[in-house]
Amino acid sequence: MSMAQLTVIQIIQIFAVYTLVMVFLPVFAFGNKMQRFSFPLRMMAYYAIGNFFVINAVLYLQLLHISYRPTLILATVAFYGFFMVRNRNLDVKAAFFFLLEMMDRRHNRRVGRKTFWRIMRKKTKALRQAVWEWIVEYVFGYIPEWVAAIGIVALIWYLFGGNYLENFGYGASDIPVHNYWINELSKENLFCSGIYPFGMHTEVYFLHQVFGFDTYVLLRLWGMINICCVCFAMLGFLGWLCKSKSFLPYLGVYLYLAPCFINSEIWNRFLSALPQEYGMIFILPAMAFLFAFFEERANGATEDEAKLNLFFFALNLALSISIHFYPAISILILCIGCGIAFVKTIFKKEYFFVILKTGLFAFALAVLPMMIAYVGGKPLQGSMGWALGVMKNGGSKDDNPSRYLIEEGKDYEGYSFVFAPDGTLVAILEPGETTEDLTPEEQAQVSGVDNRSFVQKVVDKIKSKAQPKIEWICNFPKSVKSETNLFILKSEYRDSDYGYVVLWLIIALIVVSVGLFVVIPTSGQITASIGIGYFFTMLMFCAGRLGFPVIMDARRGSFFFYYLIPVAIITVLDAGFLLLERWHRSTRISKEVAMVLSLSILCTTYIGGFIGTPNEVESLEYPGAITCLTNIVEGSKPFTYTIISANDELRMVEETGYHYEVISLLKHLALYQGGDYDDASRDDLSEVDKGHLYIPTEDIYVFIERIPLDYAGHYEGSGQRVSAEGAAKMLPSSNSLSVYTLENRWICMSKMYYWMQAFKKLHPDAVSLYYADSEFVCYRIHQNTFSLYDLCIDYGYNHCGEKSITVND
Amino acid sequence: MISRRNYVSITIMMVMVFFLFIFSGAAKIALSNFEKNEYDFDRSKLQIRNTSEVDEASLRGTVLFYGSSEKMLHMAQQWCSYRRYILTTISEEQEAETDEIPAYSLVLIDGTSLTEENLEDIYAYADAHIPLVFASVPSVKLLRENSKLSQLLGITNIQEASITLDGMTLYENFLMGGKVIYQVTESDIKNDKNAKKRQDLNLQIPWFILNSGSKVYMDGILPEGYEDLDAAYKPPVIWRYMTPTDTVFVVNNNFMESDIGLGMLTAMEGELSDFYVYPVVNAQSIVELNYPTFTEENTERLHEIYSRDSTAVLRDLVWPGIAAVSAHNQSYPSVCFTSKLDYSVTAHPNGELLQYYLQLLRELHGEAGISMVPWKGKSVEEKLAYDKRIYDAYADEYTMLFAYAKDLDAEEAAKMLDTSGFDDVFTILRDYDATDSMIGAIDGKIVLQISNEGSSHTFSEDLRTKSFQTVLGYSVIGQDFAQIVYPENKNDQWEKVYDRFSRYTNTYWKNYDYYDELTLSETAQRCNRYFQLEYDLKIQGERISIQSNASEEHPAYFVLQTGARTIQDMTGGTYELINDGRYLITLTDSKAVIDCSNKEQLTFWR
Repeated sequence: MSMAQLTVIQIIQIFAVYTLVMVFLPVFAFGNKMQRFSFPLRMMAYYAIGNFFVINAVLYLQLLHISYRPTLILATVAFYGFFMVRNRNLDVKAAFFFLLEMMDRRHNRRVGRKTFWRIMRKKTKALRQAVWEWIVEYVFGYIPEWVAAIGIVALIWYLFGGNYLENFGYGASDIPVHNYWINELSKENLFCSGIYPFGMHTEVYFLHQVFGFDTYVLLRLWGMINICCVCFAMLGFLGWLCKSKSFLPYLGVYLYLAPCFINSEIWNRFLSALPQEYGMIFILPAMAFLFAFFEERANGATEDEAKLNLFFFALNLALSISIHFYPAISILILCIGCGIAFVKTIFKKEYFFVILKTGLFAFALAVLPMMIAYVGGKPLQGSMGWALGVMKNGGSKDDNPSRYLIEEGKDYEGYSFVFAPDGTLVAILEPGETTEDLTPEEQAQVSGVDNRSFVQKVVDKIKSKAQPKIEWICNFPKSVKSETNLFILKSEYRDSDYGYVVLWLIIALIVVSVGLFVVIPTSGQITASIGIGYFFTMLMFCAGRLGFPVIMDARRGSFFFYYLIPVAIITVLDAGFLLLERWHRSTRISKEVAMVLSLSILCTTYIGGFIGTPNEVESLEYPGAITCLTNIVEGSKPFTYTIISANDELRMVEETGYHYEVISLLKHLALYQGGDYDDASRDDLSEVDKGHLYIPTEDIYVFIERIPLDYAGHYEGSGQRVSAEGAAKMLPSSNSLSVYTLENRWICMSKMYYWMQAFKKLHPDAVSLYYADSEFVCYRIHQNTFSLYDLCIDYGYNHCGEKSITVND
Repeated sequence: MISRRNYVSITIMMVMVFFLFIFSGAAKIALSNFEKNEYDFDRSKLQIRNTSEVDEASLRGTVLFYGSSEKMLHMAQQWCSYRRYILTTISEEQEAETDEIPAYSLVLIDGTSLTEENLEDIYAYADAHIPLVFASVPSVKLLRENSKLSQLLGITNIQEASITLDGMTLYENFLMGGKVIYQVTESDIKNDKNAKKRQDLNLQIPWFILNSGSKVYMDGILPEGYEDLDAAYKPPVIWRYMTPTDTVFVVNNNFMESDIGLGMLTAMEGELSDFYVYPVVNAQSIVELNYPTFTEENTERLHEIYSRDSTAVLRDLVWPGIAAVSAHNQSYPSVCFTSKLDYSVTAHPNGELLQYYLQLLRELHGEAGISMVPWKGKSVEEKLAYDKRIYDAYADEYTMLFAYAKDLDAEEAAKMLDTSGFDDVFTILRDYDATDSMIGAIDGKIVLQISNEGSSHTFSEDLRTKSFQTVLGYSVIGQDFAQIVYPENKNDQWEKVYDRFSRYTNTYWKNYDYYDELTLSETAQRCNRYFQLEYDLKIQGERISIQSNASEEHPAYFVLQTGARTIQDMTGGTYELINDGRYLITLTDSKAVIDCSNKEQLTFWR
């Protein structure tokens, strides 16, 4: 079987298990309690429960230091079992005793085999009938919807699946860090590097621990789950939102995924297992439940009846905080939009306090495990401090700081500085500007004499303050367009006017929300919420260019903003169709028009080449490396092998084998027979006799990149093969990842290659070829564990480089 | 009361049952054809060539022995005869007076004979990139004074000039039979008071620290007090030191002075190339010597021990043990009849017992031969004449194909057999003699040696077994039963002998069950075909072609060492994986082709 086939099987397995845990178990336990919700809201509710349970079960069991497979399974069975029994009024005791009795009768041969199974079939008839009815109702009854959903899945497979079948490694350089954090969960070391939102990590850990998937397999394929769930979350939200009962939700997801002119950077992160993208799943469901609360209340539901919506809003918000802060920020921005749209309602006593309590509840749910860990002595993780710092420092509040603040490092050649008599810097004139370009106020400061009248002064003041703002307002559309073109569209559209579409959407949203407000006020408010939230998200995305405080950088902001664009489009279309329905007093025409519109858009875009090409990201490990690793893990007994490779495999095999870094081996070789090496980087060589190296496992697998990867960057010689020239260069001297980047990686791999050839000559019977392709090769050293091979040998390039190396005779 | 009719019916039924039981027993005897030797064959086609006559065309190369040890020389001669090399000594080389170093396949060096004067010779061989085998390590003084010599042997440091080990560990994939630890521990002594006697290896050796590029095949177990020592620094006993151009093997013990060196040299030769193919005999036998006897002897003593006479002991106690050992090892017993042990005893042999044993042997598909040397009372010729009369009277149709000659000279034994009328005997079995070849042929007879005694298995004997299994794929276990009839002490009593015999055969021969278990005459035939074998080997890439005089009727056997490769396909024969990287090849055609693969070893997904 090929690795590609295995990958497909693994994706299907992970999907099946993920759906079981996150959807089906909540369905079984809470199904009959959710009937009041429409189908999309129900699915989003189940999903929220499933995720919430898994994350919190793991976190609390970890805090109690009793997190193992049996306890996780027990917690799952207990939780869902309790609610299943309670909600469905199952007589578990009777069922248990009935089963015992039947088994006893069978064991004592009082009933035959056929009779036994006939009785069991009869007892389960009601259940089987219920399942069949469900299938008839929800599968056969919604064939077009299923076809459309399968089409979405097929599109996702087309756009993203191909990458997983060709690139088996991680797509981002921080995945090994996440791998490490998840591995530490297996050792009950929660928040091992500091407190950090661990939502996604706990879910990966849960699947690994309970179902036995290797963590590295989950992490390399998690992106597929991620993108599917993000799309289905959008589908669910639009499915609830669209009142025109058409195929618009599917069109929305299609417009999100398919466009060929979207910058590939938007998708690259979805090809990895990154918490930020996983947290995006909960943005739209949170807003759906919040809007549903207002809608139900507007339709006459009591607070008690409607507050279940607030509960699930809180759950989704808590989940996004647990997984990553940035999606939570996005939710908060959308909530601000909702607050403005519902301003008349929200400050009413019966709304305000319950919403406030909901927000605090959501925050508490998410933060409590982190608080417990913090109180227990765990510090914050480094990137948390960085994120807070970014938000704290933000941007300058002044209109034009470059006028009078010297920027460090900026080249002021051609600029001129204008000072007041007391030496205060008044303004910095750009090349070409003169003192006549100074404002009246500035001129007054320079001359030291202000002959202006009071009114003149006020007018000048107003002008000087207002002018930048007027300029800002005039440049606003252009700024948004430029930012959109830069981050959301492909480079060939950089100078186009397509970016203005996002602004036209705002206008469209305003128009339709006003129109809807007249006809259906609540729907109008919801549309307005979406519009305002969309607008604020746009401002957040363009904050840097617009001079606002930067909460998140534009690259990250683009992901959230782009996520809302199809939502905005579908909202506009749906509102239009709703108004059409009202005008025609018939839903049929709008449904037909919607279907025709959807189909024509699909056909046009497919024929016109609108659909983008499959996304690909260069993985940080060669496919051959992952192939070897998979075979090694499968075929070796635990901890009987060591992999010598650059870096990433360290975390992948941490639970089944050993890893030894290439740089550590090369340092030993540099010290061979009395050679020397940079002192600062020798500390990690903890062996007593640094000139020898024994690795005490039966098998040693050596991973060598014949064409060293461009690990997080390109250099002049990118793509060159290992060579004697590289082996002859000085060994990189560092204890950080830089030894494996750019040219250093080429040097290390070249040295490794020649070391391997020399070792093979000395021990031809011990070294065999494990795997080889044009880019990557793996050798296997098989040794007697009672008589180990000394890996420190003279391979001809032990001591070389421009720096003089002392060789002690 | 039963009626007459019922009485008659019951009687008829009982008679019928009786008849059936008797009939089946009688039929078994009648149809077994025990009077004939089932292993008899047309010996007119058997060609036996003296092993001293060497076929020049089959020789593969030249091996130089550099040294003065007679024992090592003898071992080297034996090895070269099996591996078809010409052996030359340093004196012969000096006589040749050539300036150029000949292209030796191997140079075997007696390290103890090295001095400052002759070191240059050794360096010259090393510079000519000839593989060197130091059959013994040069003196510590010489090593200390000559760093170049130390370097050549891969020695970086001399830890101690001499250390007494607690045991030795032989690692797998060197000699056949896997990893063995030669150490007698406290628990061994608790279980067996005589366990200490098994340790007969030389445990006092110099302690060296080796350079990287070394591979250790055997190292020493240090005594107490060295528990904290890194495993990498254990005293090496046999190692290989390799540089990109040179290969040197070193034996830091006296193994090369005995037949143990045969297997070690074969294993070392196998380490020199990717593919190593060599012929083997592929035969193992268990031979019961001086068993059974057919005369009541030493009756009083045996009554004291066993409460029965000698024939009853051998029949009722010993035979079931022999049958059990054969069954456990899936072997076929070969017994060496003798009508008596002490020919001064006047009692006559019971000829019917001879027929009885032939029946029993037939059931186990065993074979009978003769013992030549009397235990007491007559000369060999007299014994042979006496026994011939018995055999002619009671088993004239049974063809005896082998004879046990103890320590008689092979040529002499062959003559005696011919003059005594035992013309059919074509195999002579002798006790183990370190000064003679294990297998050979002379005057139309195959001469085999017993490789191991059945009830003795010291560590050196184990190494010897491994050695023979490696170089020849041959072993003959001989157990003398004269001591059972004439026990000298408690250790000669059957229960003790059987305990040792069954324990050793069942335990230590399990590792070699890939070789065929045969009767002695079949083993002899295999040995003869081994000597007659002519073969030509060609290796091209991953393909091995063997042309030989093998056939379906007379197959040839080879051991193929492939290292990390696996056999993908074979024509002209069959193959069986016997060890990591070792196959037993059976050629049934004159042309055989073996395709190996060094493909990547991914097992599951590609």
